[in-house]
Amino acid sequence: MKHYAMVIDTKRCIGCSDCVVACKTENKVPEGFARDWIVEEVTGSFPNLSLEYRTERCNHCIDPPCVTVCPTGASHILEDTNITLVTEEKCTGCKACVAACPYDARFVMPEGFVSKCTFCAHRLEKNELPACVSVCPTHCMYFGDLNDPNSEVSLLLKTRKYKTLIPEAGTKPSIYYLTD
Amino acid sequence: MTETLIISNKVNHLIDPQLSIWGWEVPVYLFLGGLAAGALVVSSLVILFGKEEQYKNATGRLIFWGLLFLSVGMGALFLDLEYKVHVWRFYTAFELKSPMSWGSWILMIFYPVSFLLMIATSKTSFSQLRARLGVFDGEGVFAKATQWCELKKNTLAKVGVVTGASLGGYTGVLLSANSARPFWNSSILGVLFLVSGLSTLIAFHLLFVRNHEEHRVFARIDMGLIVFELALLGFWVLGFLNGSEISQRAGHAIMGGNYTELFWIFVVGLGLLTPLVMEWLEERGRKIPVVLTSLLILCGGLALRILMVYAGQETGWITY
Repeated sequence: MKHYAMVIDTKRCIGCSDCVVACKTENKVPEGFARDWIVEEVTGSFPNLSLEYRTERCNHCIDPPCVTVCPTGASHILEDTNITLVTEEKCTGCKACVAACPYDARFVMPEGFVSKCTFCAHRLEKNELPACVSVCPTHCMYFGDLNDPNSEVSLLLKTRKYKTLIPEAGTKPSIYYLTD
Repeated sequence: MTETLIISNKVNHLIDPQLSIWGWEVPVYLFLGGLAAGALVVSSLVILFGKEEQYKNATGRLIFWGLLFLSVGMGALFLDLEYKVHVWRFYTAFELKSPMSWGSWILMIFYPVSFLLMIATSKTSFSQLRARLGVFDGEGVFAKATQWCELKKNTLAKVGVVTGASLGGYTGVLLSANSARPFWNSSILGVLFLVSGLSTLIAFHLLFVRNHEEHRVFARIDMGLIVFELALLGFWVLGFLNGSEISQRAGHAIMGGNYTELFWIFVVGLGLLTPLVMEWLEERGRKIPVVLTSLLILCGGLALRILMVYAGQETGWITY
């Protein structure tokens, strides 16, 4: 099984939103909707402040509550991976998965079915990187298989300090943020 | 300490800036589903306790109301679906871990069980209609089916208790299974919604009871249920006060936040405490208008579900 993960270097990210534009273009995300977004967080007290840019999206959790709650099986995990997807033809638009996601990463398309980041599964089939990763001008985004100890993402997590978002929600997210 | 937080490009409809995926349709469905669950449980228990002759309005007719409530509730739920043409997909899968999947299939058991129980009790509940239609007596297929229902009445009632209780509990579990929404994430919700469903249903039933003894019995049961519901709400609030930071933040919605008045005045005060005192005074011989007591309980039940659905969506792990 492949454990696909995205590693994002917050020390390199400048919040340019190129990843957002690339995703919208690649996945034909309609106007007014977004599968990924930018968070700019300033922490500390003046004058000791620190700034962090993060590009956020579905965390493709190892234990995804959005899949568990789906009553029709539309929300599912791609075989032999940790990629969570939505089968449009099975989705009723009940929004149970939207409520279950602690990251608020899902949304309802104008047609009525639920959508979200797919880690560009269609590109992975062709051995291409997700669109957002491939366009990043500062090369702050890395993508690969964490079950391969020699993959770039595995090596980065071995050598750099990192965090995940809301680990206490217990979903085991697969997006890692390098913090130093 | 976070000084500033700026989010760019996240403008998803119904998600940002505030989760608002479920509107009036869901609380209405949860309320009517609770009433329907209560109708099946109460009527089944009346049959099992052998009180069918004594409480004629509390069996077949109550089940009929339950079916009506559930059908309207399911209509509301259908309106909430964003991809309505795919509604049939609920019945092409059974997802063991999905409360909504369990709920969908429980609804499918609810209808036939209710219908069979209605037929089984038709002799006492719908005697005039039954005589007029005629098909339920004699030798025909309907007559044989009716005889079978009457023969299996107690077994059907036992299934009715389980099905009704499952439906009532499910309306709460549907919300409580979401760990992403700390306002809902309490195992008390299943029992709370079931008890509330039973209490509101009895309040509804009392509107039609003319017999003094029957009124006294059901009013007493309702008082017990209200006390139980108040205790459950107390435990639920304690859970927020003694919980983790995220739990305390969620509890703020009803303890100083936007939903404080709705909870303490409309759900607890007017929806539970006031009717409890009114039923108690009535028990002591005071003249109390039943319509007012029942309406307060029914409105309180609806207010509880409105509060749960709307306030719950405002809570979450994400702080932006």
